[in-house]
Formats: sequence, structure tokens, C-alpha cells
Amino acid sequence: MDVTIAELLLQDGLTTGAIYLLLAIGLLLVFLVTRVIFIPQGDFVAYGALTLASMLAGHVPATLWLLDVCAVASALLQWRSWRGVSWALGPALLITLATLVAVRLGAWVWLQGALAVGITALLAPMVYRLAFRPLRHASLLTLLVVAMAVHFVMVGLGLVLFGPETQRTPAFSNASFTWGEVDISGHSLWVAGCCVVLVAALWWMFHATMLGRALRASASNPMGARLMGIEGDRMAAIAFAMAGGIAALAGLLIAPITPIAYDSGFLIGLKGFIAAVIGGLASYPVAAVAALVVGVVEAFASFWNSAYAAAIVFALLIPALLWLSVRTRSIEEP
Amino acid sequence: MTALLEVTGLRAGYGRAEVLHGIELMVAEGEIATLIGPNGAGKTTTLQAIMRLIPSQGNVRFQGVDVGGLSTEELVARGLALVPETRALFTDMRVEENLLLGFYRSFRQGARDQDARLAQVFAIFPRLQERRRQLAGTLSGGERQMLALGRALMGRPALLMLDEPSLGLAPLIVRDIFAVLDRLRKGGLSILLVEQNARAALALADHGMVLEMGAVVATGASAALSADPRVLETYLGQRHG
Amino acid sequence: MIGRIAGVLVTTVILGSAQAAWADITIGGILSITGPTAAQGVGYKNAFDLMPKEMAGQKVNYIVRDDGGDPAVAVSIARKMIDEDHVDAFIGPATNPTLAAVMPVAQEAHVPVVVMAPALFDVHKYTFAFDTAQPTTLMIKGVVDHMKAHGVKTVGFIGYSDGFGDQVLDGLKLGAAGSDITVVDDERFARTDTSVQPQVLKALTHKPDVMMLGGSATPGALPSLALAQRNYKGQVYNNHGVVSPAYIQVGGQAVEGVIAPTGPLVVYDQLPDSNPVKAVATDFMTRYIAAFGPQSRNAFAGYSYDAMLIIQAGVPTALKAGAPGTQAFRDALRDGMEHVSNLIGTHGIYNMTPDNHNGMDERARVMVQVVNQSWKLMP
Ligand SMILES: Nc1ncnc2c1ncn2[C@@H]1O[C@H](COP(=O)(O)OP(=O)(O)OP(=O)(O)O)[C@@H](O)[C@H]1O
Ligand SMILES: [Mg+2]
Repeated sequence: MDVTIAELLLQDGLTTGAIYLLLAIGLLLVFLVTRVIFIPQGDFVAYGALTLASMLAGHVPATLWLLDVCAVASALLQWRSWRGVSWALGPALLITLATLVAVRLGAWVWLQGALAVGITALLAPMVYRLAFRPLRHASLLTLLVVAMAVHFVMVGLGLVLFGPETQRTPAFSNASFTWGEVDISGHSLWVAGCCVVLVAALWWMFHATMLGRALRASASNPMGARLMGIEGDRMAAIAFAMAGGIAALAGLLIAPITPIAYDSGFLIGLKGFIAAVIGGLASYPVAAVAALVVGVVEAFASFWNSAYAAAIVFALLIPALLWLSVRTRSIEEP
Repeated sequence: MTALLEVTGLRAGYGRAEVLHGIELMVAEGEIATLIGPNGAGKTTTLQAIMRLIPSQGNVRFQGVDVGGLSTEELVARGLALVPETRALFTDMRVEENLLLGFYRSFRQGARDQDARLAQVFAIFPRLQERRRQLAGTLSGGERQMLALGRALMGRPALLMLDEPSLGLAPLIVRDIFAVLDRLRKGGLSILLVEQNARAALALADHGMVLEMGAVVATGASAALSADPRVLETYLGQRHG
Repeated sequence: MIGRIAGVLVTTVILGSAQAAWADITIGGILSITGPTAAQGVGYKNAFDLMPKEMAGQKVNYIVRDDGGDPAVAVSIARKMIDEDHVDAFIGPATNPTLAAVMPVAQEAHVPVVVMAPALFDVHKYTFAFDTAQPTTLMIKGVVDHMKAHGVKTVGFIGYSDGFGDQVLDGLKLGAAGSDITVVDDERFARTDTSVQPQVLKALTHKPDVMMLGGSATPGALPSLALAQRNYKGQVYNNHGVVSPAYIQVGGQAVEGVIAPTGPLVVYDQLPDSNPVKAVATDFMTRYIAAFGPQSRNAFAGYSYDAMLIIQAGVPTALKAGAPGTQAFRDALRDGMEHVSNLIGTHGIYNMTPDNHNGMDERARVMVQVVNQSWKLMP
């Protein structure tokens, strides 16, 4: 292996690692605020990419109708509260109108991309409301099983909504730069840029805004948060929306590199999950670094022995779990 | 004097076991009321039931309004604050962030005077200002109690409920904290104080209630209660006899 | 009221028994019309509408059921069709998991079954099973022949890390055996991998003259995308599993120039008049497009149709042995199908023998190339 190849592998690994990083963050956010292991996050990756692909093909994306159906269902669930109903229906209605107009006019790609992220992001709190909220006092294991079930439902629905074909979406940039002997693709830079901007924005939000602090507080001490008047439900819905949006963004970042099908998300999400677990399901920085490591290890493993690449990546979990069990920081209910 | 908080027939428990068998209690505007009783009498349970942290039946009126159907968050929004026995601090966040979270509800209601309120809390507890950048989890027991109290004050509650603020603290610090409560009362804040240390609590409070086995067995002005032979024997006599 | 119910019951019973006694020929179709392979499944199913209503003067009933791509469902459909519908033959399944599940059931009940995906099965064990799809080795042989004709010495391989990838690689090695072509690298990837750059980088370290790819459907374009990014200048070959417009849509300019084998039906309108299957393929496709519109054009329907043609060719012999619905009929039908010779189908020419239940030869294969973003027949 010469230096050029190592550099190319590193570039490739960091690009996919950056995408895993986004997913690891989303996963941690949802877990810390709601104790749900967000297995379906990978499906949101696929939904985001396929929603954009379908809009670019000039169709009204099927996810939009799914969103509307879910919005009506969750509005019915809280028909007693006017605020609840308007929160369930309002955003869905707005984005439905915006999407219909954008598809009709064939608006700019980036606008359609933003709408695809928006639709997917709004779908996530609906999933929380319909699947997880009724069980918010259940055990971690129950929530995990439900998350699994939601994943299977979403894959099945994905097939119906998008069909079995893989789709590609356009790269954010087709430019290419030469750095020494290595070509760096503009898209890789976009992935890295999005990742850095998003991480910075999240950091700022968590530390400098009331909402961000409230999210951290609900994760830190749920009872304490309630006593501050922080509604657990609202925080959970926001955490889901953020994770859904992050996943959809990850989808838009992957789909130009690798065509995405309705069932592609699970494995991608699993890599983010590995990173989150290495971070002890508690630490954002450790998870972020772990995600980059997973990406790079995957790239070098695929080079070294592609038939066993997946096994090697999953084997990363073993030392991490050993280390965590040595530290014996239990992550059962408080 | 008008009743700020009025609880009648409050029943609550854990699972099948009923712990509170119809509590009657009252806190008047601008006073410190204290709820005393032996271990396991149900004092903490009473505060949790009022705050709707556990399901309960019975009638709770706050500021003259029936608040029975409200959630914890809504009660907080109406000006009810609880500093629980466990303090429930955000241990992995900084002292200042903990305080700012006490401001969350007011912030959502449109208030933007967090700096002024921070300054007030820091004036009451200068120690917190020194340690504002420290993680709450690294504070000492007394500092934690100050932080929990300060965090509750950030929300400018109408009624502050404290569950055993003296728990695990050195007598000197307890005295400091009780002095703070006294000053807060002079500032017009109403307080419901749950205490093991009956002597100190009755000395501070305007009026007291004695809880035993999930029911209020005696109530009256603190001076009268302190003189009540039963109370004297069980709570004051035994401990300090 | 009771009278009416009784009447309905009686009529049903009479009709039911009539069907059993005067049995028409019954052909059961087991297809994955929904599920992950739905896109192909619809093609397989549509072809049934174009099948003849009579064979050798005998009326034919077709029953088509959807297994959703689930082998367990496919098996229960097969059992039901055998026990309740008394089918004389099966058309399908057309995916490897479902056909592998149904084949033993059909064998046990001695019902001929014509599967429609390249399946490696032992004809002496599954004596009732036939296959209308070109074997992978036959297809890949076309690729190897092209390599030989162009003096290729070294080939790099990137394929799926599953049985399909193995099949393509085996075909490549088998075809290359005895020639001076060597497979210099074997790289694998999964349909859902986020990147195949590392595999491509590794393959290119061996500086292969050409690359051979072993993925199917649209993810089969993944290595091409990575190869283009690395500016690979050698010829890229792919297999028959990717020949569809969707592949070009996903691959774009990166798949321009890719060469692959496919069945003649796929490019029926580009075939020279001298091609022996052109007439049958053109007739079928013309009718298909007339029925389902030009957008519906696909190669899968032809496999159903060829399955029907093979059954049809066995029917005259079978009718001599017994009435449809009887075991004698099905046994003789199988014998007849096993002796089909020079049957021109839409995908090729079938010559069955007891040792070969596919019977296709090189006439079932043409080579195509992506030229100006569409599949063109190579001369
Ligand atoms: N989570 C719980 N589950 C079951 N029983 C509980 C629970 N919490 C408290 N109890 C029981 O309820 C009764 C009242 O408890 P509570 O904590 O209210 O007492 P307390 O008056 O606050 O006592 P202390 O002075 O020791 O704090 C006790 O018998 C206790 O065992
Ligand atoms: Mg207590």
C-alpha cells in the first residue's frame, strides 16, 4: 500500500465516518432524552434520500402523504388540547403546501433538499407520538423491542412508498481538487463541511440556548427537568425531530456516493449505533471520534480484505463493550 | 390571611399500597408553614402528590384555583416550586446552567431578565457565584442545597416547597439556610418546609402541621405546637431530651 | 332464504365437481408480485395475459398467486395449488429463495415446475424442475469470449459478497480456464455499502487490463461509479443482472461503455433478421407493449412466456397418457417437457435432455454495451 492509496482510503473513511458521526449524534440525543434506542434512524436516512429523489423526478413524495396521515392520527390522539392539535397539524400543513408548490415549479435542488429534510424531520416526532409516547414509562428493553418493530414497519412502508429501486441524488458539488497527489472530491468536502457546521451548531445550541440546555437537562435528570417546568414530551418530540432531520441530511449526503434503496438505511444506521455504543451511549465527543474511527477502519478493512470488512467493523464493538463493562456504569433506568 | 395552598382529602400511594390517607393542609400567603413527622410518615409523598410527580386523588387548590388536573410542568408554570429531597440537580452541567434552567419556565412565558435574577441569587448565595463554572456534580452537600434553592428561586415561585433542606448538612450551614428562608419570607415568599429537625422548623415557621402514618394529626401556630405536650414528647423531647 | 342458500351451495358443489371431473389444464403461477422484487414480478405476471387459452384443443386455466418474496408463503401457495387446485404444472417462482423452497414441494408431489431464475439444481434429484433463465456460466462465457477476442490478460473482479457474486466469479474463472486470462483480484461489496472506493483502490493496485463486476440490479453500478472516480481507463464488464434502463439512470456517465451479456429479448428491436429468435421475441414484445404500454417493456415477462411454451410443448404427449389433473397426465407432461427440442422461445432456443433441464445455448445470449446512455446490441 503506498501513501497515495492510504490517503485516498483515509479520505474515503473520513467521509463515511462523518456521516456515521451525524447518525451517532442523533442516536445519542434521542437515547439520552427519551431512553429510546433509535433503531429506525437508518430508515430515516433512506426516507430522506428517497424523498428528495422522488421530488427531483417531479413527483409529490409519498412521505408527504405519510406525514399528513400521521399528523391527523396524532391530532386525533390529543383532540382535547387545542395546542396539541395545532402543533400536530400546523407544521405538516405548511410543509405540504410548500412541497406541492416546489414540486410543481421544479424549484432549486437545494430548496427541494431542504424540504425533504423537513418532511423527514417532522415525521420523526410523529413516530414518537404514535409508537413511543404511550410507552414512555416502559423499560429500556420494551422500548428497544418497539424500536425494532418501528424499523420493520418503516422498511415495509418504504417499499410501498418508494418501490424497490435504488435511487441516486445529485452531488452537492461535482468539483474536484488536487492536493499533492490526491484528488479530493468536492462532495467529500461538502460532507466534511456539513458535519463540522452541524456539530458546531449543535454545540452552540446545547450550550447557549434555553432549548438546548433544556434538552440536556431532560437527559441529565428527568425529574429535575419536570420541576423546572420542562415538558418531557416536548423535549422528546424535539429530540426525535432533530434526529430525523440529521438522518435525512445524512441521507442526502450519502445518496450521491451510494445509491439508496428503501432498505439501505439499517446497516448505515448500525454503524452510527456502534459509534454511539463505543461512547457508552453517554458521550457525544467519544461517539463522534468513534464514528470517524469506524469509517476509517471500514475503509482500510475493505481494502485489506473486503469479504470480511463488515465483520471487522462490528468487531470494534468487542473491546468497547469490554471496557464499558469494566467501568460498570450501568445504563438502566434511574 | 388568605390561603395560598389548600389541600383536602389528598390520597396517594405507590402501586397498591396507599401511603396518604386523606391529608388536609394549608399554607397561607406570605408565611412559612412546616410539615413535620417521623420517618416514613409520608412527608415526601405529600409533596410529590401535590406536585403531581405521583398520581393522587383529592382536592388541591392553589391561589384559589382548583389545580387537580394539571401536570407537574403546568403547576410549575403557575408558580409552584419544589426542591426535592434528592435535590435533582443537573450534575453534569455547570452551576450557572443549573440556575438558568430554573429560569426556563419564566423564559417560556416571555421573561428575559435572567441576568437580574442571577444577580439576586448570587447576592443570596455568594458561594454559587464563585463556583458558577463548576459542574454541579462536584459541589459539596451544602453547596448543592444552595444551588437547588437558588435554582428554584430563579423561577420566582409563588410557593416554594422544600423537602428536608437540612438533610446531611452541618448545623452551621443549616442555620445559614434557615436564615435565608427567613429573609425570603420577609421578601414576601410563601414557603412549605418539610423537616426532620422539628425544633428548628417550628422555631422558624409561622404555623405547623404534624404528619403521622399518612394523616395530619395536629395543626396550629408553631408556638402553640411547640408547647403541645404530645409534640414536645415525640418530636422535641426525644430528640433533644 | 334457506332455499336460496341451499341453491347456492348445491350450484357451488356441482361446479366444483364439474371442474374436477372435466378438468381443464390448470397452470399455477407463483410469483413475487409485491415485495422487494416487485418490479420484476409484475413483468412475470403480465405475461400470463398473453398466454393461449387452449393447448392442443384443451382449455387452460391459469391461477397466479403472489408470495410477496417470502419463501414460506411460496411453499404454502404451492401446497394449496397442489391440493385444492390440482395444478398440472407450475410457472415460477422466479427468485432464488422462493424457487429453492418450492422445488422440493413440487418434486414430492410430482408436479412439473418451471422456474425462471438461473438456479443451480441437480436435475437427477429434481426431475420435475425446469428452468427458462440463461445459466450464469452461459452468460459470463460471452464476457470471457469478448475478453479473449481483445487480447485481455488480467481481470480484476468486484462482486457482491453473496452467492450471486460467487456465481459470477465462478463463471468468469470457468470461462477463463485454459486461456491465458487470469483473475488477479477478488473484491467483495454489499448492496448497502456506503462506499466501494477501498475495493476499487485495491483492485487497481493489481493494474488489471479490464474489470469484471458481479453485482445485480441498480447497486451493481456502484463499482462503476468508484472506477470512474479513479479514472480507470480499461474496459469494464458487467453481468446480465444489471441490464436495465434503471442501471444507466443510476450510473449515468460512469457506466458509459460498460459491456454486458443479456438475453436477445432485451434488444429484440435491434436484432438482425438473421437472429433465430427475432420473430418470436418481436411477436411477443409487440403484443406485450400493445397490452401494457411502451413504459412496461421488460425482459422478465419473456421467461414466463417461455415457461408456458415448454409446458405447451409437452401437453400433446401428456394428453395421450391421461386427463389433466391426473398423475398420469403430469408424469407424461414431464416426460414431454424433458424431450422438447429446438423450441424457439423469446429468450433463446430450448433443447431439453434428461441431463439438461434448461437446454439453452449461445443463441440465448447477446452482448450489449452502454452507448450514449442506452443499451446497444454489439455486432
Ligand atoms: N417509591 C416508593 N415505593 C414504595 N413505597 C414507597 C416509595 N416511596 C416511599 N414509600 C413508602 O411510603 C411511606 C412514606 O414515605 P415518605 O418518603 O413519604 O416518608 P417521609 O415522611 O418523607 O420520611 P423521611 O422523613 O424518612 O423522608 C414509607 O413507608 C415508604 O416506605
Ligand atoms: Mg422524606
